[in-house]
Amino acid sequence: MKRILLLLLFSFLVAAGFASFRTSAFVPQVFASSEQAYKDYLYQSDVYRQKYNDFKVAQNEYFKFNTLTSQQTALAATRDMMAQRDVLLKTYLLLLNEKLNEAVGITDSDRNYYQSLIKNENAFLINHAALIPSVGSINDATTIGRQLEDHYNVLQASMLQIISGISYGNLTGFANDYDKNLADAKALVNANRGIFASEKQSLMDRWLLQISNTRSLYQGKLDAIANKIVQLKVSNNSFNRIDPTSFYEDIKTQLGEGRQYLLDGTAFMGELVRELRYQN
Amino acid sequence: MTDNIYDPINPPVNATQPGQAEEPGPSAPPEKKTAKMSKPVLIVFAVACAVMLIVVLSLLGKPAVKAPPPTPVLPRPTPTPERITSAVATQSAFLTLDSHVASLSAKLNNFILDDPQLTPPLLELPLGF
Repeated sequence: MKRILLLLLFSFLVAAGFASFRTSAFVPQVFASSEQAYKDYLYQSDVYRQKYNDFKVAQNEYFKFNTLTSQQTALAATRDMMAQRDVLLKTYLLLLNEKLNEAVGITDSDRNYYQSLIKNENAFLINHAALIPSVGSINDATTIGRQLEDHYNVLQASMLQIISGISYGNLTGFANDYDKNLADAKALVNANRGIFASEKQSLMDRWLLQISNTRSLYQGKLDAIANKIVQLKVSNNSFNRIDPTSFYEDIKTQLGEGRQYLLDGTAFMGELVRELRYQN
Repeated sequence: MTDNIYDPINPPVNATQPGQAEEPGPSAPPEKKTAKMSKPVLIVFAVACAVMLIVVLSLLGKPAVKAPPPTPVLPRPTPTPERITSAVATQSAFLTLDSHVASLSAKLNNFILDDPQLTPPLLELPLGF
C-alpha cells in the first residue's frame, strides 16, 4: 500500500513538472516595444513593396493596352498602393516614437517637441488615407498622390530632426557618464596627492587637464550639432525649404566627430587609471 | 769468282734491311738531334699540359668562396621593470572608477551612430500617370 502511494506521489510530481515545463514553453516572447515596432515596420515595408510591384505591372498594362479594363485594374492597384504607402509611413512614425521613448539623454522639452512632430505627421497621414477610398479615376489618384508629394519634404525634415535628436540625446547621455568619471578621477588624484612622487603627480595632473580639454572639444561639437538641428527645425517651419537629406548628412558627420572626442577622452582616462594603479 | 754485278750485293752490315727505314747517313746528324731533342720537349710539354689540366680541374672542382654565415645573435630578454602596486589600487573608489571607465569605453565602442533601424523608408512618390 505504501509503495503504491509513493508511486502515485512520484508520478504526480513528474506529471506536474512536465506540465509546468510545457506551459512555460508556450509563453510568448515579449520584445521591447521598439523591437516589436521594428518588426511591424519591416512587415509593412514588404507588403508595400509587393503592392508597388503590382501597381507598376497594372500601370504598364494600362499604358500598353489603354482599355477600360486595364484602366480599372490600374486604378485599383493605385488605390491599394497609396493606402499601403500611408500605412507604411504611419508604422515608421510609430517606430520613431518608440525609439524616442527609449532614448536617453534627451531633455523632456525636446522629447515633447519631437512627439508633437510625430503627432502632426500622423494626423496628416490619417487625413490623406481617408481620401483614398474616394478615388474614382486616374486624375483623382494623381491629385491625391500629389498632396503627399507636396508634403513629403516637411515629413522628411520632421523624421530627420527626430533621428538627429535621438542620436544627439544618446551622445549627451554618454557625456554625462564621462563627466561623472572625470569628477571621480579628479577626486581620487587629489585625495591621494601625497602617495606618489612629485614627477608622477605632475604627469597625472597634466593628463587630467588633457582629459578636461577633450571634454571641452566635445562640448563644442555638441553645440554645433544642436545649432544644426535648430536650423533644420526652422527651415521646416518656413517657406524656404532646405534639402533635409544633405543637412542630415552634415549632422551625422558632426555626430561622428563628437563620438570620436568622447572615445579619445575615455581612452585617456583608462591610461590615467592604469597609472594610478602603480606606485612607480 | 768475280762478283756478278747482277747478283745481289751483300748488304753492308749497317745497311737497312728491307722494310726498315733508311737511317740517315752521317751527313744527317741534325735530324737525329731534332728527333732526340723533340722527345724531352714533348715530355716537358706533356708534363706541363698535365699540370695545367690538374690545376684547371682542381679550380673547377673547387667550390666558390662563400662568405662565412653570420653568427646568430640570440635575443636577450629585456628585463621588465617591476611595478609596485600603489595604495590607491585597493581603494573602493579606484575600483569603481576603473569599472565605470571600462563600461563607458565598451558602450562608446558598441554605439551605432547611424542606427539602420531608423533609416526612413524609400518611397516612389510620383504616380507616373
